[in-house]
Amino acid sequence: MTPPQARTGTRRLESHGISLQVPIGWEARFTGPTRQLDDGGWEHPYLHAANFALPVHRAPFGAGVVGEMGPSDAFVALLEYAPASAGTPLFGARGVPVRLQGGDFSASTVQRTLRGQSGSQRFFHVEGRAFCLYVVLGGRSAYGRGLEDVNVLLWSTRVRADSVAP
Amino acid sequence: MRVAPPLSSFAENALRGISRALGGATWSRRSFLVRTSLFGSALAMEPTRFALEPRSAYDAVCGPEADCSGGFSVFCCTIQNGANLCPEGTFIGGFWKADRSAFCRGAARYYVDCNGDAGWPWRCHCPETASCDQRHVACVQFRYGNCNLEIPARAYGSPVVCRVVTCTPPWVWDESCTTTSFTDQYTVDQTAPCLPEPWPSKVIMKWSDLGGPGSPLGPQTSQVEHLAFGNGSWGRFRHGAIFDLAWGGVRVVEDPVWASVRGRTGSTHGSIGYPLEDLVPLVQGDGWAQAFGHKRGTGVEELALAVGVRALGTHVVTQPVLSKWRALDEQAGVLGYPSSDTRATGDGSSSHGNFSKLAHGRVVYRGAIYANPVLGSHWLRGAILETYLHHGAETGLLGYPSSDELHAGSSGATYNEFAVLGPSGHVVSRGAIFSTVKFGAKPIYGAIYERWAALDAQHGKLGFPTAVPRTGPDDRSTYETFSPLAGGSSTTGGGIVTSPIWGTFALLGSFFSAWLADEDRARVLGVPAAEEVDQVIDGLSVRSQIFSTGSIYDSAVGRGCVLYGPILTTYTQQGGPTGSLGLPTSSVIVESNGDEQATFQHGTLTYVPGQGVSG
Repeated sequence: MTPPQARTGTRRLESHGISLQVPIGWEARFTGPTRQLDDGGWEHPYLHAANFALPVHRAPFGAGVVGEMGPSDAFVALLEYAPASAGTPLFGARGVPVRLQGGDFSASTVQRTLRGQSGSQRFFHVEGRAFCLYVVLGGRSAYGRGLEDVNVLLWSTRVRADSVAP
Repeated sequence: MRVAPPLSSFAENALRGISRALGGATWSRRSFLVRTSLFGSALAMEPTRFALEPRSAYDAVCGPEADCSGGFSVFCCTIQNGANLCPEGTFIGGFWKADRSAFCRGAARYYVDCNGDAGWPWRCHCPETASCDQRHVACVQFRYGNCNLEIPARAYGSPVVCRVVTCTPPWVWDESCTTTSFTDQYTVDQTAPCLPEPWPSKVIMKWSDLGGPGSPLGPQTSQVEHLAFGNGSWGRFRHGAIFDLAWGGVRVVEDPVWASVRGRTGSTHGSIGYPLEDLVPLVQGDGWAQAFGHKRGTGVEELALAVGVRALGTHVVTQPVLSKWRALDEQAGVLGYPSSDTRATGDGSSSHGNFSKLAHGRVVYRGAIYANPVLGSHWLRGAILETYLHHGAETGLLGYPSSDELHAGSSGATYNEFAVLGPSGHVVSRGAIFSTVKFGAKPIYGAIYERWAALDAQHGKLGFPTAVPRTGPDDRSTYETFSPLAGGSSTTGGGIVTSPIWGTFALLGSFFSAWLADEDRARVLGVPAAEEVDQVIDGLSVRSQIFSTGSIYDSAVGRGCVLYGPILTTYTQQGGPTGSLGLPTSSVIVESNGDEQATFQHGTLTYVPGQGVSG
């Protein structure tokens, strides 16, 4: 498979055993590390990346972000789950999804429906770690360069097994 | 033994009990899902009241993005007549939480997505209700991915139909959910009129968590009120109540337990206190139980236990019967499940409860515990209990049990002891019921019991009772028959006869047979007036026994010789067996002319009416 063509100026970002190339003009941030909450639940790290400035207050699946998106904007959320999830049917797909295409997006595959936006959601596992990839495109004009940059980011994503969350 | 499940959530326990009470074969742990049968029946019974108290003033406050075009999914209670449960045809797709929610009294509020099952014809639409919660139905294909991981993602097959909200972490309610958690404060103010208002009481918060009017509790039937006694509050629902106890947490009582305890808890007439726990499934025996009591000092005192099983229903066992039942290993023990509430006995001095031992859902035998303040708490069962009940139970001649079932020293033989108490609490008379395979369960009481006990009871020559006490042929005496379980001879077994004038005496072996034969025919002996005397006279073993109007002598020279009347008087005057006549060699024989004659070792005595006895 031919890798997506990365434009010059990308930078490498690495955290929690995950590394990726951030396309030029993109902002990417990791949260974390994994922590246990007062109610007994666990919050695992996640990555937010967008071709626009990320708001300070963001929810894991993009609440606080998607409402600010323009038609050419793209938003990527890569969320980790407990490693025990990796062996389940929901996370049965192996490897980071690459080469997302326009047909992979739907106006209804979103956490919240907003006019013009479309999303794509994939659950997968890699190196014994479970992830959900959630991508939102702000409008038709994001299907071009925005989606290309998303694929660059995904193609460059590497996950190490030695940073498995508890 | 009662064992709480690993996830000791109320819903699991309660619904397991409910499911079984309603005849459900299995218990679904997918507890966010609608309980179709329950919900359906509640809806059918009271459709207009199912959605409780429409809050018109609050209708305008559904929070942000409440329009159908706002991009969010509707709350399930909005489209389900108030039921805060996932609809049929959905599965729990995942959840997120919002911290510091006023709807959960400042704690986290959890939003649970109900995703459509594959094959169900869900279509995207706006809700057709008058509620301000006009958020869309089944319009987004999205998974949070932290519940039901065994269900793979489908591109367009699992729309989010609606949202359930709860103040309890989803993984506590539903084992399909993991502890992977996502926090999203952007939905913290979203709500619906069918959900609790901000800062609800703990009672209402719990009810909503259970599903609100769609829960097993059904619709609310009272306001949340302060408890009459103790520090706390409670609310009543069609099928139960929720208690918020300052000392015991939030506890739920629901049918079938509620139907058994309502009127005995919560109100001023409460006699069993308050729930100390939620409904607990009973691992051994397929039943359920819930304890009640009250705060005492720094702890709690258990006053009652509501115990149920499908075959017998739910019954309330109270102290001190409860302590006895617990000591007997509860439903797994010898008595099995309760088959009645614990009740006061007729004289008001004691209490008792009935039980049934089950096998494959059928009663094998019945049991009971009687608790008397003087005699203590004792249990009986099976044939002994049936005999006890047949003889009037505590109002009969046996009185109250004074022992548990005891082994009688022979294989399969058991007994209980009983006592009749006087007004001051002293024992007036004692008794027992012995149960053997050979003779069944037979009672023995009063003077006969005391005589039998003095003769070493079942270990003595008489052995075990073989029949119920009978009135003697003279209509004034009473006798009871006995026999060893094995063996037997002319000097074992027999009977005990009691009469108001002569007292109570045993008749062993052949003497008892002779007495019965005499009573059937001549009736010359009367009733026994002394115990049997065993002697050795001139090298011969001699048995003799005096009766009210006769005597029996038994030796190698004369078996079962019955003497009476003038001949007996003369024989006695002449020294009896040690006198000149020696031992009898025959009974008194009545000649055809009316003369009577008896022979002895050393002579004959003849009685001619009107002329006296000559030898």
